[in-house]
Amino acid sequence: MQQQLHAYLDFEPLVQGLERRIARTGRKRRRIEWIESRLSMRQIRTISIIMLWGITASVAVWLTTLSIPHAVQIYFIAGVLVVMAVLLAVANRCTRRGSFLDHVRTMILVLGAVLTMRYICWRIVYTVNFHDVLSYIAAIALLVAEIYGITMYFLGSIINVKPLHRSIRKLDESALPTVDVLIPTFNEDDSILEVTLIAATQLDYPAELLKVYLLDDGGTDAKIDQADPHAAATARDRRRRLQALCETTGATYLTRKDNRHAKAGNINAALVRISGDLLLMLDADHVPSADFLQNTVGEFQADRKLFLVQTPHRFITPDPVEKNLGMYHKMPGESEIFYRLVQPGLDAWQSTFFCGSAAILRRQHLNEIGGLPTETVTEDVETALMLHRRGYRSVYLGKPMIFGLQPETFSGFIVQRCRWAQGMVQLFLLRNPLLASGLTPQQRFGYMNSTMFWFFPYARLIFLLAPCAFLLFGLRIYDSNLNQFLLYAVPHLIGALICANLLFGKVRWVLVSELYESVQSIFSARAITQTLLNPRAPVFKVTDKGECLKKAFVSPLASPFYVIFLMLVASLIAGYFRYQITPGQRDIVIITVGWAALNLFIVMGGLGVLLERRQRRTSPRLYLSRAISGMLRFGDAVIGCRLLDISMTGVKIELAQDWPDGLDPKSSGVLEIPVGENTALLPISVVRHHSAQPAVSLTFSEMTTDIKRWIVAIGYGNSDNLDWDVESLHATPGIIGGFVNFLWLAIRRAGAHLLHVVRTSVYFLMTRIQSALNKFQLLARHGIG
Amino acid sequence: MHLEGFRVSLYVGVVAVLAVSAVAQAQTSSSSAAAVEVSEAPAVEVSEFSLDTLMSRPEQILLQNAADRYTFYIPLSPRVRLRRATLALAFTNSISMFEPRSQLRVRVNGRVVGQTLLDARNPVRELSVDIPPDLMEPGYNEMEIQVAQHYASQCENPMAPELWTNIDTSRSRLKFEYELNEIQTSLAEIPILINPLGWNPYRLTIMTVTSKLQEFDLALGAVLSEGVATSLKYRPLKVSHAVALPVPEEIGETASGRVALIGNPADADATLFGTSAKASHAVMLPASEEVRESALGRVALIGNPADADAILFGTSDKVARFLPDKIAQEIVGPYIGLMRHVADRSRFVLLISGRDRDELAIAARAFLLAGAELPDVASMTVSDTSAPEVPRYANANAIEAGHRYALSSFGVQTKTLRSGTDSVEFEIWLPPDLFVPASSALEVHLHMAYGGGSDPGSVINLDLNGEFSSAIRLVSEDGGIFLDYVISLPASRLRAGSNTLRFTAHMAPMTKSDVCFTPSSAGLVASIFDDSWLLLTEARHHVELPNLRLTARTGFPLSSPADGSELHVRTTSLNHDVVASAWTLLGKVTQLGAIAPWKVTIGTNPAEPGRHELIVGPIGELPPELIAAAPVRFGPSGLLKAVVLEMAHGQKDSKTVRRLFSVGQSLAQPQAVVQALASVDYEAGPDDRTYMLQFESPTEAGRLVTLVTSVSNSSLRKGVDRLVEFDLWGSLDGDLAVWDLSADSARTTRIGSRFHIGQPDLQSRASFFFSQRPWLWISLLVATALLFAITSVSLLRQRARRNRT
Repeated sequence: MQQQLHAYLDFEPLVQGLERRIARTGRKRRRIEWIESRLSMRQIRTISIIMLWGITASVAVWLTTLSIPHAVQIYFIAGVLVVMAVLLAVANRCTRRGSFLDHVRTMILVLGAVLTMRYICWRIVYTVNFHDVLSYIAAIALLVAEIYGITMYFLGSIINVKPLHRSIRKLDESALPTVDVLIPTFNEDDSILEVTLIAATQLDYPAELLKVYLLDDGGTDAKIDQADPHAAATARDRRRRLQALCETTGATYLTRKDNRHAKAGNINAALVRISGDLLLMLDADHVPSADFLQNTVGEFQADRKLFLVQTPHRFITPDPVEKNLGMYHKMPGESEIFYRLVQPGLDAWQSTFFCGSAAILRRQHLNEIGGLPTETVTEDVETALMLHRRGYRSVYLGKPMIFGLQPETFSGFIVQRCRWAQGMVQLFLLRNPLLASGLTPQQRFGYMNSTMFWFFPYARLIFLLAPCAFLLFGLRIYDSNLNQFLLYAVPHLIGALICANLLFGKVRWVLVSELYESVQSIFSARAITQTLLNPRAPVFKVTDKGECLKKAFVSPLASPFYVIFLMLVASLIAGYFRYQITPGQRDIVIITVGWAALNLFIVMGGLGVLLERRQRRTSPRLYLSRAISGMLRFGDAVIGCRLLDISMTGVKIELAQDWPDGLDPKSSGVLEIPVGENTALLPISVVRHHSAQPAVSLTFSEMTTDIKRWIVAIGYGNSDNLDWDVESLHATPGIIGGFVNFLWLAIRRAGAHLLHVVRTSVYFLMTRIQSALNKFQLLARHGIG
Repeated sequence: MHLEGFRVSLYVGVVAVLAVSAVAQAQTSSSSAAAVEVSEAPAVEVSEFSLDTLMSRPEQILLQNAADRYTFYIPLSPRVRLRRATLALAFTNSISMFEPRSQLRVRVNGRVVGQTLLDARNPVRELSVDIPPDLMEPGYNEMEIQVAQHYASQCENPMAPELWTNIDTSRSRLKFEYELNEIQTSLAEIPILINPLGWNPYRLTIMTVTSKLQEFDLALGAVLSEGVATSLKYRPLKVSHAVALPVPEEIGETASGRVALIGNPADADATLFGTSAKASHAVMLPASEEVRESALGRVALIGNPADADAILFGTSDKVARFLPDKIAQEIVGPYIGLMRHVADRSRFVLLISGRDRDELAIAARAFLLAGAELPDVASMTVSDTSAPEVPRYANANAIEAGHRYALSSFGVQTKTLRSGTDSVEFEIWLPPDLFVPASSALEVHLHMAYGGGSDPGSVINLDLNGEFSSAIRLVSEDGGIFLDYVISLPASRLRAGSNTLRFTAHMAPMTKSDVCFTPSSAGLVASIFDDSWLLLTEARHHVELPNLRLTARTGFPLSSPADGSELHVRTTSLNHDVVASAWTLLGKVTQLGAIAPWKVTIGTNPAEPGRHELIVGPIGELPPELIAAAPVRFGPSGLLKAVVLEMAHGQKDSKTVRRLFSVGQSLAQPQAVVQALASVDYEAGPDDRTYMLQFESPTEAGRLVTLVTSVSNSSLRKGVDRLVEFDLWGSLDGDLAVWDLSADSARTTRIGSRFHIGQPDLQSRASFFFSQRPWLWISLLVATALLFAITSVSLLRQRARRNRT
């Protein structure tokens, strides 16, 4: 019966099917087990999310490249930009960090990326066509520059989307490591070194564990024995003076036989003579706050694989751009974007790097690579790269604890930037982060971003000159009409502005980056080209600091800017005629004229930078953000006061009351300031009364080493004085406000520059005429001729 | 240029003439002699038509300003000898016209043939003009209507709005009385005999010599139809079929009840042709056609000499019975001979023959390929033929995306335009299967110059397909030169197939306050240089079908590739009317494809894979699988019984918000309609409607079936004859067209599903798809962006967690 039923029902196919299914399921399970044996669930999840991330990104970009009716695209673009603007407003007003803000920030960046990818796809496919050889070359160059810019924009967005803001790790007092403070010097002024040495010796750290070394490369044996007797005497004198200074301040003076490998060689020579566990690296003009080691050493105690704690460089003098534009303390400084945003961003990807100063290194790890490498002129970044490759870790602590000086002149600024550019390009060529072994993918991203950034001079020059190529020479560099430009390029530009505002809006005003890049580009491009041609040629050039400029003058580097300025002016004039003569090209003329006009404003800003304004103050003034109260004593008269700023030569105070009647406005007295448990007694003289507020400027009437120590302790002792907020008090003007501010600034400063040139020329001419007249009168008086 | 080269190569490669011209001349003279004996005096024929039939788009003419003109081109066939030509011009002029100075004149080929004053008191008038017949030349004759219009004796504004005259083109008529010329029996005359210059569709009778049509006859007739259609260019061709039969043969009933039966004169529906007393043969013709007696020895009179030329084909043994011995003996290979019709010396009989079917096929093929390049002899023997490979798009003015084309390559020569009178006009041909994305543009890079002294309001207008598209302002009073003046037109405005671009200068002299100022017009000129170029920025080969409008405009996909290698014509039977309909339709397809489609296959069998099908036959004979696949239903009596109602799809537009959010959709689908498909079963007598229907082949995906059908064979043939006329063919649209003989135009609709052909990449398909569904595109984009953002945040959080640990 059963046999009959079986024959009737014929279960065989069903059984075979089930067996196949079971086998399949078994295979699937074995596959899963195989994967699980190699990957954790968390890794599988991460890989899945990464794959989903890649797929969604690709689909989104692909969708934007489809040919959809323009009317629909306009609605889409308008919608995206409105959403981005609203989200930006939300992000800027959101005071708490957290998940919501993360989503908002990421959404803005994603939408910006969609607009940018849409633009670049259109740009590549439709706007580069062959017209003639020169045009094609120019068009390709411009396209490459744009692709470079967009690559950097994406890299920057990825790195800065979620920066890592660390809090200070507490110090374990029971097992403190020994610390050597290394201050390399080459030609810095004694007064600068003195302040740094005093501050270093006053670091809040057990004295037996702390040693301060001045590493003098200006008084090496080679310098002293050099053939030029005057130079040798100067070096000898410098060595003698600095040895005395070290003795006075409690530091140790070290020098070496020769000057090989510049700063890196100087430090390496010292490494064999010192023995501290940790090395605090300070530039000669970098004055540390007393709490520097208290705030940083804890990181090394917590992580044995940590090789670096980098802190920001805070500058108490303006760089030439800020100074010459009169924007110091009115807009965020240039370094803020790097130290407040980029470095924390890199830290999140474990790729923050050593910046040469204001950092602590673990000696043991440094020894493993034979000290600071000397392959490139940016030995600091190279050091970090090599130690990252060995799997060591770095930390960036965003609290500023260093008071530094900027180069005073534009020439000094350019020397510094060219060195950085050359060093980074050397690193790109000789130790390419993409190819270097041992780095994580994130670190490769980070280092690629850091090194590739320095190719910007080429891109910036192309952006500056591209409109001239069309307007002056008729080269077809960008095939588009106005509608397409409005539909593709403008949304990308607005989107990029919004993203830049989101990422950097609080520390960088609109067009300021373009200005900085433009003023460097001509010189950096030359330096980079030399490096590309011979990567091992660059040598370390020391940046001059603490110079005093007695009168305003036009920088000797100004000539190329005059050429570009004139080219842009000529381009605008040519644009006017092209608009009239070639109405068929009006679309492209309008686009390029607008572009040239923007470039002109940037170059006008550059001209403003190139008019070096005089710098009368020899000692930098330090603005104090924390209220430091004191007493002003003139004999029996005592006036309560609060310190506003301080320098090594004087102080400005706000009085608690009006100046007492009958008291001599130029009185001399003593300023009493509590410093910890002690009170500093500083002899002063009144030099100026400020009418706007009950405030006076005082000068120190006596200057001893103890008084200097008091001044350093008051001004530089507390890192809270260096809080970023000091310079962030000025309101962020926003995109439109920043744009308008920049244009107005460019017009004013370029006007001042040109006026100075006219005045100088007229003065020169008048002097010549006067001289000629005098000579003529003299000759006439003597009846000659 | 390419076409010309092609023809030359054909001429060189195809023809080897073996005929002896002396024999031909002898035959010619003997024919002529015979004709003298029997021919009647040539009959005067009359053709009359309205002026709007000469316009590419019928419209009223408004002549404005102090001087204006409009130009027509009147075709005149070289076969015609005009007796009289008259123009009755109906017009209405402004009632502000100043009579002594205002006038209208008509010029033909530069000579004034009529004029009249424009009378303000009698504004609605008709001017009758006799056009001297000797003024009209074979070809296109320029007829210009000019006006000089004034409202005052002096000191007037030449652009005053009251200066106008309206020409009523539908009431204005041209009437020609003419005779047909006696033809010359030379093969080289074929381009003259079969020319595109007629005022009416060209009628052709294809004669076979066997009573029962075979597949071979069908194919051969198709080749000959294609050959004739090629010579006719765009002039409609209507083909009919007839059979020549010798009298002694026993006659049975043919498939068509309306065909004459030889030997049965009592049959009311038949006509006996031929006189048994003089000849041993006779010809069977469709009953409705007039028959005249032959006097050419033993050659049969073929067709209706009143209005049709004829082609007779058959193997030599079959046609010899109708031919003089001398001519019959000449057929020693593939043979083409031209003879004058005996009864009507203005008509011809083209003899295609050979000793066997192969030679017959070669002869027919030679006629197709050689076209207008046959030699100046009465007959020839072809030794061999070969056809070149041609590109997919054989049109000389075809453009592709991403290529630059100098205007000179479209036949444009540097030309100086005078204000308002001259224009530079050229044609570009857009491959019909191009999908032009929304972002694509047609860029015209213009090199030009213009003269000085013109008003800043002067312009050069660019019209695309007769519609104003762009203007170039001529702002400088001193004149100027533009190099690379870029005009960017949205490519979506281009039509598949032929597009016309026209530059017209409208330049006014600089005006002064003094109206009596006499301006100089010497500087009112502009030159367009022929090295200007144009570029279609983006397009892909991808098209949505069915689309009768596309087929009507370009022949696509039936005539693509132009050699016909992807077309199969299928008749449901070998009935005379069905076959004639198929030949007529094939002639139309040939004309749309610009060159002879020698690779077309035709038969009663289904197509080989890879070919689109054009199926011709009555409803009752349609293959069942096609009836099942068609998007309409057929009733038991064979009648189409699907009724489609179409209504414009409006949107309520009362609220601003709604308007804001409906823009994308309304822009994307501006022609959206609401369709209602009703089905009504009914019984009725046969009607005379004809249907043209397109749908995807049920047997091969991506292939199109074009079905032309009617209730009966005869109604099918009449319907097809009506279909190929300009007005009806031009009105096709959607995927279904229905018309009857009385209808002015077809009723068209779209009822079936659509499919795509071409080789679209994913990008192209997606662009097309999302262009139709913009909100889906936006939604998808937003969704992916959101997902992208969420996954980004998720990854970043993981990273942050790792940093914390």
